Amino acid sequence: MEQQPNDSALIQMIRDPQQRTRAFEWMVRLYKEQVYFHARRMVVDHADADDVAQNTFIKAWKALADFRGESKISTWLYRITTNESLTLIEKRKRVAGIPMDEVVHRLESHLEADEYFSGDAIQRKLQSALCTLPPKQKAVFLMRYYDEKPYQEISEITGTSVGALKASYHHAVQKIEAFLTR
Amino acid sequence: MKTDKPTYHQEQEVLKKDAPSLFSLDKTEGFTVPEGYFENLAGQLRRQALPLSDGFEAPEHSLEKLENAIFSKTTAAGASSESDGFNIPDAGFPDRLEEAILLQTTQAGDTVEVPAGKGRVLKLVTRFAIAAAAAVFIWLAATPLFQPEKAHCKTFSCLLKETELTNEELLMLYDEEVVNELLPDHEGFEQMISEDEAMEYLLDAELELNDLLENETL
Repeated sequence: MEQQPNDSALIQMIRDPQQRTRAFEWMVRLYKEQVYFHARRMVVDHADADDVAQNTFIKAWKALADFRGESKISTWLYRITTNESLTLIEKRKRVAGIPMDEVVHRLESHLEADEYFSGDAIQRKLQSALCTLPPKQKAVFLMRYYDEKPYQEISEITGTSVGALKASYHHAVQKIEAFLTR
Repeated sequence: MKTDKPTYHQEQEVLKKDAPSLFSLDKTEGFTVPEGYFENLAGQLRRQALPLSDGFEAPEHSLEKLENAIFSKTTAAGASSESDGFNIPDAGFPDRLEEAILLQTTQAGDTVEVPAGKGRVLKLVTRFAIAAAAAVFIWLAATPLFQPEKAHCKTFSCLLKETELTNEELLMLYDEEVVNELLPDHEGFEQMISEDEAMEYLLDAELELNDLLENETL
C-alpha cells in the first residue's frame, strides 16, 4: 500500500506534472472530510455542503498547477471552501430576502426534519444562533471554536488581520451566548 | 492539527466567564452524512475533475459532455482558474466598481481631500470614506453614547460633521491595510483595538458593512 505523503511531499508531487493527478487523489483522500465538515458547518444542509465540497475540489484541481505551496494545503483548501460557502450563502440570502426571525424559524424546522442531523434541541438552538451571525463572522467563529485553528492561520484563510479576527470572534461569542440564554 | 494551545486555552478560560452556556456545550454538532458518502465523493470527484487518460476509453462525446457539465457547474458558482479562490466577474469589473463608487459618493455629497496625482489613493480614500462613514453610522445608531440631540442626522455626511472626526481618523476605524498605506507612521492597529472597546465594536460592524458594500446597498 502506498505510503501517505506529508504536506511537503504532496507539494513536490503537485509541482511534477506527471504526478499531479496522483497528488490530487491524495488531496481528496486526506482532506475530503475536513473540507466537507467545514462546508457543512457553514451552510448546514447536507446537499449544499456536498455542492460546496465538490466545487472546492474542482476549483483546487483547476488551480493545482499554479499552487506555489506558500501556504499549507489544508489552509488553501479551507480558503476555497470558505469562499465557496460564502458565495452560496450570499446567493441564497439574495434570493430569499426574508427577515432573520423567519430564517431562524425555518432553520429550526428544517433541522428537526433533517435525516442527516442527529443533534438535540440545544444543538439546534446553537445552529440557529450561528445563522444570526454575519456569514464572515460565522466562518471565523467556526474555525476558532470547532477547529481550534490559530488566529494566524485563520488570517491566512480569510485575509483579515489577527487583531480584527480576535475582536470578531469575541463578539460572535457574546452574540451566541445572548441568543442561547434569551 | 496544529493549534496555539496555551493561547487558545487561556482564551477559552477567559471567554467561559462571559459565555458559560456556550462553553458548557458539547462540541458534537449532530451532522451526519449518508452511508458511504465519502467513498462516493472521492469517486465522483475523480470522474468530474480528473482528465480521462491512458488506459481508459471514453464513450463517444462523453468528454465534451463532461467538460460542459464541469464548465456549467463552475461558471454557475462564479468560478475561474484563479488559484486563491477569490474572483471578480470579468476584466471590466474594477472600472465599473470605481464608477459606481464615484457616482454614489458624488450623489451623497461627500468630499475627500486627496493630493493631486494619487489615483490609487483617491480610489481607496473614496471607498473607505464611505465605509468609515457607514461604520460610524452603525456605531452611532447602536451605541448609548450617542447623544439624542444629534439623532436628527439622516445622512453620512451629516454624521461626519457631527462626530468631528477627520477623514484620517475615520479611515483608521476601517482597514489596517489602507491605514498602513496612507499613514505609515501610525501606532499599531492591534494596540488600538485592545485599547478601545468602541474600536472593537466598529470592527464587528465592519464585517457586516463588507456584506453591505458587496451588495452595493450603500
